[in-house]
Amino acid sequence: MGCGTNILTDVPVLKNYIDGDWCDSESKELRDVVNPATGEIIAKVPMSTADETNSAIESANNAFERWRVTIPVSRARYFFDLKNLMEENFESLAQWIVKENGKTIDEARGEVRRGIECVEVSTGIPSLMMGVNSEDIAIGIDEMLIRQPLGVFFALAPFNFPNMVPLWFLPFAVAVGNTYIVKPSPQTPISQVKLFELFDELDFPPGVVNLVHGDVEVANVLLDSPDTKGVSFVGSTPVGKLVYERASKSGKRAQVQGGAKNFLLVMPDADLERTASALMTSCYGCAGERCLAGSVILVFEEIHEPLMKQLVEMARMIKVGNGLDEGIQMGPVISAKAKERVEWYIDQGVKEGATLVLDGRSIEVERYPDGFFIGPTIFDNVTPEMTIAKEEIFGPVMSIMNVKGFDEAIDIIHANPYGNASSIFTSSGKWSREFQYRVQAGNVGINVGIVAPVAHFPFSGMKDSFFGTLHGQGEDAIRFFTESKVVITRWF
Amino acid sequence: MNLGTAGAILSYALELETKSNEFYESVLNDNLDSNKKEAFLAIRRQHQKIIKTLNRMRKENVTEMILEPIHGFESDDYILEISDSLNAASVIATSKQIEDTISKFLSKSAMKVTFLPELSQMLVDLVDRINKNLETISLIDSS
Repeated sequence: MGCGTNILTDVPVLKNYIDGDWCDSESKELRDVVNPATGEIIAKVPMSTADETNSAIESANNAFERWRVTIPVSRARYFFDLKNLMEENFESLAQWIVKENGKTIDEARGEVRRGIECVEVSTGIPSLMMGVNSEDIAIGIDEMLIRQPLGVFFALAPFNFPNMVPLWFLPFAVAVGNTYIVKPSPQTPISQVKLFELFDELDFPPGVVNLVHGDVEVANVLLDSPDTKGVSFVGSTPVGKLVYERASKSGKRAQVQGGAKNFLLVMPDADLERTASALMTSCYGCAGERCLAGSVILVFEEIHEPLMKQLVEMARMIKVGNGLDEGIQMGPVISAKAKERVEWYIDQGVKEGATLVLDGRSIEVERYPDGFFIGPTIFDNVTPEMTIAKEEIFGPVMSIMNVKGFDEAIDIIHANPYGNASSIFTSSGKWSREFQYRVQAGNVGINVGIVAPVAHFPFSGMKDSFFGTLHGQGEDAIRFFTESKVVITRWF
Repeated sequence: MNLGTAGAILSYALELETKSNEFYESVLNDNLDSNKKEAFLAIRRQHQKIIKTLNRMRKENVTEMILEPIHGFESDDYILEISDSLNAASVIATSKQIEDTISKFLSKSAMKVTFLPELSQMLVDLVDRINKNLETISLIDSS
């Protein structure tokens, strides 16, 4: 099992999963895992030692040679079985996400589904990792490309999608023949423990998949080890830059997804009712704690008033509470610190002259006085130089900014250093095509507020939102986790 | 209860279906002539299949990308009143009330989740199946 019990507190202490076994960490440093809706401590997570991290690397490295010669069809079968186990445990996996992250049960179900989809795509690995060949590149000479696994890869995962994000990487990496280590966020480690309980049930060969809890120290050991070949990171841009630099120094592959500031442009010809609904999902889904969340709404003056009216009406009606209560439409943010941070941004917006139309700071949620709740917040009259227009807030705050034309909107979007996602709402094919063509964002939405690529497409991103060349998911993932070897053959 | 999310709607649909399934089970345990038994068996089989479909819809068709808040939908407007009495007349009356309530609930649900078109269409399909149950009950009643 993935946890033991701390005799003094009765709170479960999470274990690492190394070399096919659950092991207690020797670390003296334990952190609380807190249910953000109730404030209750639901587990303790160890900050594992360097020795424990190295032991996971050694185990993964030892497992690699045997795993890479396991034929792809057999490797894929583990993932067919994993998919079935995840389906059987679907509701329980979703509930754990809610308990440790705070999102609503529907959002958590959606997250588990997205994770399963990655597993499903990876079951096609025998076809997906096929190379190509070309006869007669010269007379009597043929050339072929083979995709081969490299060794040990690892993920440094964020708190906001604790079940799904490691599944953007692990199934692809392992199915092509690598071995893997996951370091989950210390704020939300339980979802990965629950997933690794399923891996354990599947009886992967020891060392093929490993779980090590911890924070910066564990990450640095993984990044500095000569035995790890690559890292997949999802988190903030400042930390992402450090990870990218450190990985590059030791010659590792890196795919680093950083922060975001997503702009959504509403054209005068947009269907306002449907646009307003989509903006609700975009800005307030997962309490705004996702890298695809809408943040700044660029609005033409002629539709400003009717759109504002709809947005405020709809946002006021959003039911905030414990995500486990079905019918709740928005949960808390992850921690007291996160709540303070979002409140600081709201204060800052007021100080810098934006009009606070809807203030989520004063929200009180019945039955959950200790939860980290912030209600839907709307700022109007936001201008590009304001802090709330420039920085990632990672909370349920929507900022409305007036624009006079399409070109001005594009300039505002491009002035921001991030390039994760951006959307346009319009009924004009011309404007949507122009937007898609020009906008500097990796994930582009046309009348879609949350542009989340499905598992057989790469999760894109550009500028300060992504460092690296090949993204997670899809064909990019296959190429990231394999070496392209070219063989040229001539027979005498 | 306020049904403010797609998940809440599907969970309540499952609750209604589970109750109806229990009712038909008790009807089938009672003494029925063979024609009626066959008809009620078919109705119960439909409900059992619908439970499976609803569970699958909740797992597969509620995606976190599009979860728009739902307003103005209360479960209190769709309560099943199931009589304990199992005489022929009350069985027919209760069956009709069950099927009618579920049909109305699923129809309204389909309208409330149009932002998830696949889910909405599947709910419409379920309404057709429930309406066939209603036809079967009318046939039993008239026989």
